[in-house]
Amino acid sequence: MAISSYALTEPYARASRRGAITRLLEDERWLALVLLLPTVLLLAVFIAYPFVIGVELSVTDAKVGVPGSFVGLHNFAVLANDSIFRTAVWNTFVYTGVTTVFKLALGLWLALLLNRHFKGKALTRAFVLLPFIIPTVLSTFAWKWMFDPTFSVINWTLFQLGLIHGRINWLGDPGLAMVSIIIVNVWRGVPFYAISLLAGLQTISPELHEAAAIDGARPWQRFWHVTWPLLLPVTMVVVLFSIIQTFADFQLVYVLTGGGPANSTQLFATYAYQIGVGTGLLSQGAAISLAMFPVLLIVVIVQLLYIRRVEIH
Amino acid sequence: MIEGAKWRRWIYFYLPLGLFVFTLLFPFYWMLVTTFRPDNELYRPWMAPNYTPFWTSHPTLDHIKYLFNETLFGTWMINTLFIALASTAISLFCGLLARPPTLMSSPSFSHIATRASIRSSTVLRGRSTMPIR
Repeated sequence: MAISSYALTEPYARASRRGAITRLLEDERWLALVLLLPTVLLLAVFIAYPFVIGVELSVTDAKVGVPGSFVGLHNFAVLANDSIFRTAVWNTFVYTGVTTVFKLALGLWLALLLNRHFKGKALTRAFVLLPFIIPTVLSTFAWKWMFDPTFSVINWTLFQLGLIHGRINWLGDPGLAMVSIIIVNVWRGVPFYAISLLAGLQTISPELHEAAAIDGARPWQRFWHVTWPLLLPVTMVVVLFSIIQTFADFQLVYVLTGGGPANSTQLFATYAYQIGVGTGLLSQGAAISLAMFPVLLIVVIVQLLYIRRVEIH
Repeated sequence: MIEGAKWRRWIYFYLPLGLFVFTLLFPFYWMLVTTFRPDNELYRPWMAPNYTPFWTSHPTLDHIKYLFNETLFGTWMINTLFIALASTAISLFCGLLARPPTLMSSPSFSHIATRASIRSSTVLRGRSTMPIR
């Protein structure tokens, strides 16, 4: 009796259960929730969780192998009196500021050049993108070899051209080390700017340029009054995205100089790594990373506000 | 287009573009030459009189042989490929499910998306519940 009743009710129960789920998914709100679930889960596990752990670490005195206890804002107080940290903050702003200006100027120039019709246009566009596609570590190693004081091809070229008379220690001199990482970052970033801005340029109707030309606008005026304002939304997004990337840059500097010589190229990320992982002061390292957060937050807010404004209009 | 004489085209277009392409691609040429350069030439200081930076007269395959025979290059390659495929699959899956409506306005994407949503709604009892934008 029991067996037969089970056999009778089981398929019925399954059918009604499936029906319930399907009915639930017919509701658009539930469907949206289900569709968003994988992304939310991924973000929670790989972004929110590490962030929370980071915040937690920064208010303890945890070291490698020592769980640590709550110490409040002690780590941040230590940072305020840390001269290396202040150097790292200054370096990060210089690095981000200078590279962004150069990347935007050169990237826009390259985009304008690539926007013309010439033989081998498609091939050139593809090849120009190479520095951006190749893994940063790999291309940075090539640059490290080119900057090497003993084997530098750059030194050889400058010497043959008669521009220098002795060797230039690209990565060993504090000032030049900064110049070197800026050069490599600009080299790596220009293709990204160029291709993104080129995509923006292609949406600008050539008729506008023709109309401006008929009205007697010179090339420079046509750029300044037609191209630049129409390109501004794309430019804003590209620049803000690039600022976030550059501000938190790690690989390039770590491979090229490791933050040296004498912390002259130390950035937020490299210093956080050195303190947190190198010396094992996890809490102090977390505090350095978190110090980056307010700046990035402001950039992200500006970006979101701007994108929203563009979307509304 | 640049107006005026031919030399203006060279000054304002070909020269800067050439410089850009040269600078952006030089490190790759450098990697290529370094690959085929024998060790004794590789470790020659730039001040040495026989320093030949842009070419090598004794190309060698030693470094490539080393890579394939003495290291686990094949394993590294497979690992990289696996990670690339897996992360692309995961992010594509999540992104497709959670695609923002703005993406739908691009013509090629909305075509794919419409077909995908028709297919998924066919699975869900053959009735379209999602508004096709």
